[in-house]
Amino acid sequence: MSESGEAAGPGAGGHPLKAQAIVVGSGAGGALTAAHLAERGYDVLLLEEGPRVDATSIRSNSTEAISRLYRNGGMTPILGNLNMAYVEGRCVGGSTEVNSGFWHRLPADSYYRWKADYLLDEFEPDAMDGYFDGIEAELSVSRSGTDKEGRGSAVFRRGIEKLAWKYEEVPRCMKDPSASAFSPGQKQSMAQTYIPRAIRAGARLISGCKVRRLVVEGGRVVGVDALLTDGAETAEWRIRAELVFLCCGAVQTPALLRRSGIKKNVGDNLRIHPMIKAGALFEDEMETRDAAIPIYQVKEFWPTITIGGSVFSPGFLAMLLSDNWTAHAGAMDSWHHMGLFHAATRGLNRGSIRVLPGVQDGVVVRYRLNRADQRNLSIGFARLGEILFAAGAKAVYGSLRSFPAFTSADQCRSFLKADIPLSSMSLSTVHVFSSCPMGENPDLCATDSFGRVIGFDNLYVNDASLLPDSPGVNPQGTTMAIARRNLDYFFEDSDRRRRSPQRSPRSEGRPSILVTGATGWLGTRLVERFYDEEPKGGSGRIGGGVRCLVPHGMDPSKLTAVDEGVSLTPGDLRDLDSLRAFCKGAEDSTLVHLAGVIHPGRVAEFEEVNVEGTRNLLLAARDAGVRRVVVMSSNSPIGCNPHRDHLFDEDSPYQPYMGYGRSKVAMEKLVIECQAVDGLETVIIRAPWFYGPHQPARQTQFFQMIRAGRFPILGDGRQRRSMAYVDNLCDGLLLAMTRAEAVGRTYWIADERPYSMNEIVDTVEDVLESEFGIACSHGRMRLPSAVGDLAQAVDWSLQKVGLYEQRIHVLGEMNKTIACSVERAKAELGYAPRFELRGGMIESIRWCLENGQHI
Amino acid sequence: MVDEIVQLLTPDDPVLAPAERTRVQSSVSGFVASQVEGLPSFMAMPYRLAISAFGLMSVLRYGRGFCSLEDSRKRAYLALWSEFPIGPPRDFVKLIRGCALLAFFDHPDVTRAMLSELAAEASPHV
Ligand SMILES: Cc1cc2nc3c(=O)[nH]c(=O)nc-3n(C[C@H](O)[C@H](O)[C@H](O)COP(=O)(O)OP(=O)(O)OC[C@H]3O[C@@H](n4cnc5c(N)ncnc54)[C@H](O)[C@@H]3O)c2cc1C
Repeated sequence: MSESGEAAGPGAGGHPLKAQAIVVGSGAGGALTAAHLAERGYDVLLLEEGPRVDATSIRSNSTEAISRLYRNGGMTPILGNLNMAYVEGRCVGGSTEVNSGFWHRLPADSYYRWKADYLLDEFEPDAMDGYFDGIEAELSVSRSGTDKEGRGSAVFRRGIEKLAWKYEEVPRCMKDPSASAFSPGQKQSMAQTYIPRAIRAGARLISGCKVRRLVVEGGRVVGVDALLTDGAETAEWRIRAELVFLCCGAVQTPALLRRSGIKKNVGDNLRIHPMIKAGALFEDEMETRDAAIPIYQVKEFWPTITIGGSVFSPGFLAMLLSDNWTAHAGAMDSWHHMGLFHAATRGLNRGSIRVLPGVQDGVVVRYRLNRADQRNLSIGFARLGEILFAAGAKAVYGSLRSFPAFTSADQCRSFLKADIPLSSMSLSTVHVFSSCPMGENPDLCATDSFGRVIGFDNLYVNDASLLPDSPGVNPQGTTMAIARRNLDYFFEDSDRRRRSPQRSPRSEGRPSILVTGATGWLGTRLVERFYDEEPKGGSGRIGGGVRCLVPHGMDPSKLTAVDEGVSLTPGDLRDLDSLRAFCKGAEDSTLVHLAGVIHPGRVAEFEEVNVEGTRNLLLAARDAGVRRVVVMSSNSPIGCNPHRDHLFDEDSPYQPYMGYGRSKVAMEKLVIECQAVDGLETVIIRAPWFYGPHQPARQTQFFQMIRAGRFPILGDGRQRRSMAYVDNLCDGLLLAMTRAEAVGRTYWIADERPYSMNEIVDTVEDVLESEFGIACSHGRMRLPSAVGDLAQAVDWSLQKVGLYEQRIHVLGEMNKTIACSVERAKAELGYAPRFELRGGMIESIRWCLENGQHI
Repeated sequence: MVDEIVQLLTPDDPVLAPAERTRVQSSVSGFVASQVEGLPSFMAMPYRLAISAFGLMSVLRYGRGFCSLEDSRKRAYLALWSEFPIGPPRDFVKLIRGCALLAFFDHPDVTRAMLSELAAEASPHV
């Protein structure tokens, strides 16, 4: 390690192959993470792709700096309906080395919005204020006040005050907040603050070290593969670690995760603040030679639009004028009378980050401006023009292609009515976030509420990617305060884990029960039921513990929270080796196979997962000496009843409904064959539409549609459906696991009787109103029965060409009767359904409401 | 070819001594080239193709490569590309022009010249 704390490069022969915690990226999130981890006594390795640059030797807005400190030399485009310029730092200290140092706290409205939309836990303004206080003290965040404002600031303020619009001086993390962000040593960037602090606490920093991929073994991240560049020399390193924190920024963090095969909700939710610029010519000399920046922001149109100043240099001005250079080049003669300004909007669309396989640095950032964005930018430009003319501007030059210079506020105001065409806008952005949102909403979030990546217990994100949505203000403050909060949670959680006793070694060795599909809602409830019914401290049915197969990207935290006896094996039904690992040592155990694909991305997945996956599983189970296998099938192998009063029983012939039904027929046949040939005890459970606590967010839509009067009733609504409340179904599964009579048998498990569609909808409506006081509109979307047949025909045609559309599939079933009798299970297993529709719906709706789902 | 385009795009003002201008031009060309090199790999390739297309179309239009055209033709041809009705040719010129102007006006020699012009304007009798 050098004196600066920098660990030795490959040329120097040093080789830190291991660390307790690796932090990737040394920007706002990474530097803070490394410092706090090191101060807590962790052995930290901070890996930074960019170079270490001495802040006093380079002005960070010079062309030399742009080439050295910015990713791709400042040339990272965001592709979309109009391409946008995007820049980010790529050096020790990350974007904090090249930014303007403006500091904001997270506005109050974001707390409530983020909690509601992303189901973010423990995210309270009071607690966050404490984190902001601490960081602000470290970074000397302060205001300069009007007495020290520069010429540009004064002129800008004059314009805003003339219009009597709201504005504020934005604090900055500067030793002297009135100084240029580019005066060497002024800005309290990470290289000036948290990085030295991390190094003082023992962290090792390696610059020029790009992490290319995470190394994942057995469902844990065990290290990283990195490329180290030292001058012309490069070396590939594998560095092992117990913990990995990704802080590569909102573009590179999702890119690294996706390159490593981790994709669930990763890079799908990118938010940005698109920005349009203007140069203004004033009578007064602007004294803008020192890269000064106006310190005020207009809040009159916030949160949609923010208006403020931009860094000035003759080069930046020329770049703005380059959109119409032939017409506007003459303005350069008055460069010392000019200032640069911007209007930014909180982008309302979602962009994406993708990696191109096999292409080095092939990170594609996409964002399509929507109509609202276009409108807001047009309004923003109009308002900016008004301010500049009120401040005394003689001409305003927009970053707009094919527009002449504006000479009056009225000309700018025309954009209040008519949008600026997209083809004319030259936009840029420096604020990107939300590409790996944190929270508990399974449809949107890539990490839990504290940055832990879903499906991993030692991989964390701690940078701007986590912000669930646009904060509407400059994001560095929020990024750092959230990173600090997450670390506190991490420390508490680690302490908790250290204090609590180790998981029973029995559960790792010889499990009593194996479960596939355990991360699903039925699986989670079933695992809970194992432990609810086990006498405390007993060595009954689950004496050896429960082992769950957890596919990549699934969050197993609800399972591990059930009991210490629950262990997890990562794997996939399509991967026989992982299934062998899952079944290893499970001699004499019972396997419950719940996993399967119902609504696939591709029709081929039915065969791959439901049929071939089950074949793999049975093989692994047989070889491991598993005693009994209980397999979850469905109503689909038997299709639809011939008329409304008909009930299926276990002897009804196969009449599979589409691809899913065919796959379940094939699966059932495999199970029957396995009992006959391999001697495994098998039981097949057929369950229809099930409902109850833990249901996924998409099922909540069912309640929302009923409440809003938009639930489709096809025909007269008297067609009947069997339904299975989740605890009735668990009762049936528990009996199938234990009763000797069950071996080799198939059972329908459902509520006692089927319900008509009208009864189902009426009951939900009644429960919402009378039990929970939620008013319903009492409407129905009444459609002819033929709509169901039409949807079925479309579904059939789509599936023929390998496509699957969930809504069409569901609509196709809506005019059918799918009803079964549970008499055999009652007679042979003693099955006695405890819940009927109303009681079950009360529990389901209560669970939704208690778990933050909105109906 | 990029050098030629850059040369055409860098303004005559402020006035620089010939040696200074050569130094500035070469630094600007170096910067623009490094920016094109810096593009993400999946964009650098289309960009190189665009440069080739730029050269090829000049041959088709004028029967000569861009570099051997006289300055007025070069300017007209460049103007044609920067006003093209579809985006990619415009973006091609825009990127080179933007980078060239940034590098030119923020070059220390140019800034110094601009400041001395200002000083001269402020004291016209000196
Ligand atoms: C020009 C500019 C001006 C800005 N102005 C402001 C402002 O005034 N106020 C404000 O609040 N915000 C501002 N921002 C935004 C703010 O700087 C960022 O939001 C913030 O720095 C994000 O922090 P981060 O930790 O997510 O990423 P960064 O600070 O960007 O740090 C990420 C680091 O990770 C490194 N890295 C990436 N991938 C890898 C890898 N695979 N291996 C190793 N290292 C890797 C990068 O090189 C980089 O150093 C500005 C940004 C820019 C670019």
